[in-house]
Amino acid sequence: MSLTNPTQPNAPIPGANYTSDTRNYPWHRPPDITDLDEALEYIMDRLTETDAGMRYMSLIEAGTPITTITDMAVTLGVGRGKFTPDFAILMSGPVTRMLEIMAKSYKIEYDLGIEESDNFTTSVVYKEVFKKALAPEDDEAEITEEPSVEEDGGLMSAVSEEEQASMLGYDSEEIEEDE
Amino acid sequence: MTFEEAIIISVRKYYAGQDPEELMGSKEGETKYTREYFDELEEELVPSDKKKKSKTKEDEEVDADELD
Repeated sequence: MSLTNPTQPNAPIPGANYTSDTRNYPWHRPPDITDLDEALEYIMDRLTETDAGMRYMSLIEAGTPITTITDMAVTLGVGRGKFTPDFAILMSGPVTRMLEIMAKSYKIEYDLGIEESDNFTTSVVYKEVFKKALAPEDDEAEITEEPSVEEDGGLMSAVSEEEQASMLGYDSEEIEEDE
Repeated sequence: MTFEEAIIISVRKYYAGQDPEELMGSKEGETKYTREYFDELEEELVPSDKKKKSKTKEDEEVDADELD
C-alpha cells in the first residue's frame, strides 16, 4: 500500500504474473549459444578483448578463488541470455582452465578453490565434549554464578518495587500508606 | 545445492579428468577446446622448465654450430 495515497495499491495486481510478458528478460528467452565451442569462444573473447580479463586477473591476484571468477563470468553470460544455467555449469571446467592459464601467463599466484574441506570432527572437538560431559559440577557452578549479573541491574533485570510503582504512577509514600 | 557449489563440483570433476561427454557427443564436428588444446595453449604461453632446458640446449648447439 502506498504511504502517500493509501487508497492506491503499490503492488502488482493479483494475476499480473499470468499476463506479463516474460520474454522481456534475456534469460527467459531461448539461449543464443548452444554449442560448447561457441560458448567458450564467447567467454574467451570477453577475457581477451575487453577489460574483463584484466579485472578478473586483479581479483585472482587479490586472493579470489578462480572458481568464484568462473561463477561471475558464466553468470554474466546467463544474465545476457547467451546460454542456460545448466550449460554454464557444464562449461565451467574449461572456463576455469582458461583463467588458470591466463593467471599462469601473467605469473599470478592463484587459488583454484576446488580443495575439499575436511568433513570430519577433529579430536579437539571430541576432547572438549568429553571434558564437559565428565565435569557436570563445573557447569552447575557456572549457572549459579549467572544470576549475580541480574542483581547488578542489567538491561533485562527486574526493576525494584519503587521503580515499578513510579512507572505505574504511584508514589512510594502512597504504597506505604495503603499497606 | 547453490549455483556456486554446482560450479565448484563441475570444476573439480573437470580437473579429475571427467568431461561432459553427452554435451561433447551432441556436437557434429570435432570439439575445438579440448584438454589437449588447453595443454598446448599453456605450453605456448607458459613454457615449462623442461622445454626451457631443452630449448637452451638446442640454442647451445646452434651457437656451437655457428661458432664452427
